Amino acid sequence: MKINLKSYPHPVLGNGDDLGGVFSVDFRYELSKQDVALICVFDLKSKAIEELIKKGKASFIVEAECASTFYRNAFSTQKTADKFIIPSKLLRERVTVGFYICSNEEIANYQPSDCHPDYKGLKFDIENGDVLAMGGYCSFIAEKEFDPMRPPLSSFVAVVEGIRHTGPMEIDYSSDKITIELSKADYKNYCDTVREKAVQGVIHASIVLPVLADAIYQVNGRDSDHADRNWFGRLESILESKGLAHKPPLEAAQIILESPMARNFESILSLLNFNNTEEV
Amino acid sequence: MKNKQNNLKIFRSVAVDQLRADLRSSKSFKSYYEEQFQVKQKDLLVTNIAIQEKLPTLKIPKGDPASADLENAIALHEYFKIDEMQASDPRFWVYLSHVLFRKYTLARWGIKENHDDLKDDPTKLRAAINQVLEHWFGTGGDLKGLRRHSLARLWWAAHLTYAPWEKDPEFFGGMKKDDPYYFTKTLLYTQDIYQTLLERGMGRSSKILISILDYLDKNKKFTDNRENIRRLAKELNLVYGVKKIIALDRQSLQGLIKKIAEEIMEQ
Repeated sequence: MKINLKSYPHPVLGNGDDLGGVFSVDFRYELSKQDVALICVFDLKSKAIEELIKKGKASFIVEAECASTFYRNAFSTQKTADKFIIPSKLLRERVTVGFYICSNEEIANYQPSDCHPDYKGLKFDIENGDVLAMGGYCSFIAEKEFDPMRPPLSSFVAVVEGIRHTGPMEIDYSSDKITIELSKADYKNYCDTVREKAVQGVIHASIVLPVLADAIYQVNGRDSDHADRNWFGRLESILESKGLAHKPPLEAAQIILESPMARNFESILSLLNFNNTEEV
Repeated sequence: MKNKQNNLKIFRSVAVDQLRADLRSSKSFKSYYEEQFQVKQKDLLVTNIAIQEKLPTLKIPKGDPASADLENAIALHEYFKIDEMQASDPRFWVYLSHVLFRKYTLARWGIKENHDDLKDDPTKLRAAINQVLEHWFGTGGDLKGLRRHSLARLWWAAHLTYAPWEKDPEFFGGMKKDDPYYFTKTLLYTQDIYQTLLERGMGRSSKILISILDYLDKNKKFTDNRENIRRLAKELNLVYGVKKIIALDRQSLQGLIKKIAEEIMEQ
């Protein structure tokens, strides 16, 4: 679960050390041809907020969003375990799901115990909809065929020919795939060599590795401009499922590419051996 | 006589990738000035989308380029009875802009500069190619991109605002109108309303989108100042940061929008 800390006008459980207690969510999803099920088990340990939920003054809110299909909806419940169904036709590619506890009405003089000392003695007027606790957010790819544990690189990275005859390679993150644009001269050489198994290690290390590391840096950053792009969701899902979400980008990229540096040197050695053999 | 039904063909993914690659490398750039487009049968895929044989005629505006957007949006939405997943598939829209509605796309979103003035200037050429990628391909493969696609933008404008009282009777029940495209008219009233409301994530919520449009519709004095609409969207976005306005009931949400709009008017 990722959490974006924010500055709220009142103490919020889960927002740093605003409030003592726990709000976490055990989340899983099930994809079927007809529906996507969001299955949530909420773990809440905060007397004040538990009391508000019991009285119907606050609810668990699950907010689901899919940029590809312009879908955004919120589900509300007061049960500690619940399941929410979304028709499959409303979702495509990356779906993000956020977890909150929000007030259902105005609450005067809100003063939860275990507040950070900065809030000591203060009372707050809570409005309908105000966030009282945040449980973070996560994302998944709403596509049954996509396996983040064995992702084909071509599903989110493309190498294409640019408009310049020579010059440096450029990266375009604004497409559905991370698009690596090579000059016409470089692209011709790329096409002539890419199918040769002996050079694939070199290509991965010299072209794909730096780009992938940079892309991971973008995924790990907050408020990325590219969060709605298909490649972003796929890469995020791969990082999550391989347990790489908190690794440095360069290290994570090397794990995804399966030791590109070692394969790079193997490629170089094999080419050198081939040339030496030819000279004999 | 009943109009004959066919199944729509669209481009295969590999064909879309090739079209995009050929454009990026500028190889096919000149063809984006031409009305003719050669479709190879091997590049096509038959879908299960049933369409009438006779395509709708999209109006090509003479003066204000956006003047026919509403009429064209309704025509496309009435004709293509597709679901959200189909309507977010770039292969579908790329086929429509390149083949079925090429003339419209050229007229509405064609490149204005002369080809000879662009071809030897890499910076200008890149900008023109990006413009074609936006309006003919819907760069990005998501709605942020499709929002700029010549045809997807129109279909989605109609779809997101079509008879909300049918999609969510519980929330929008009291807002029923005779015209199912009532709120489409407000969304496409100016290009600015469309851009401002759909460029933000909160515009993806039909509850929020329709509630804002309802306010704009009832308060023309507020709506006629585009700066007001921008500020309203910005302020609501800020509030969304601390308050899950998407979870509010209709009355509370409408009250909040009204309160923020009145504060803007007072300043």
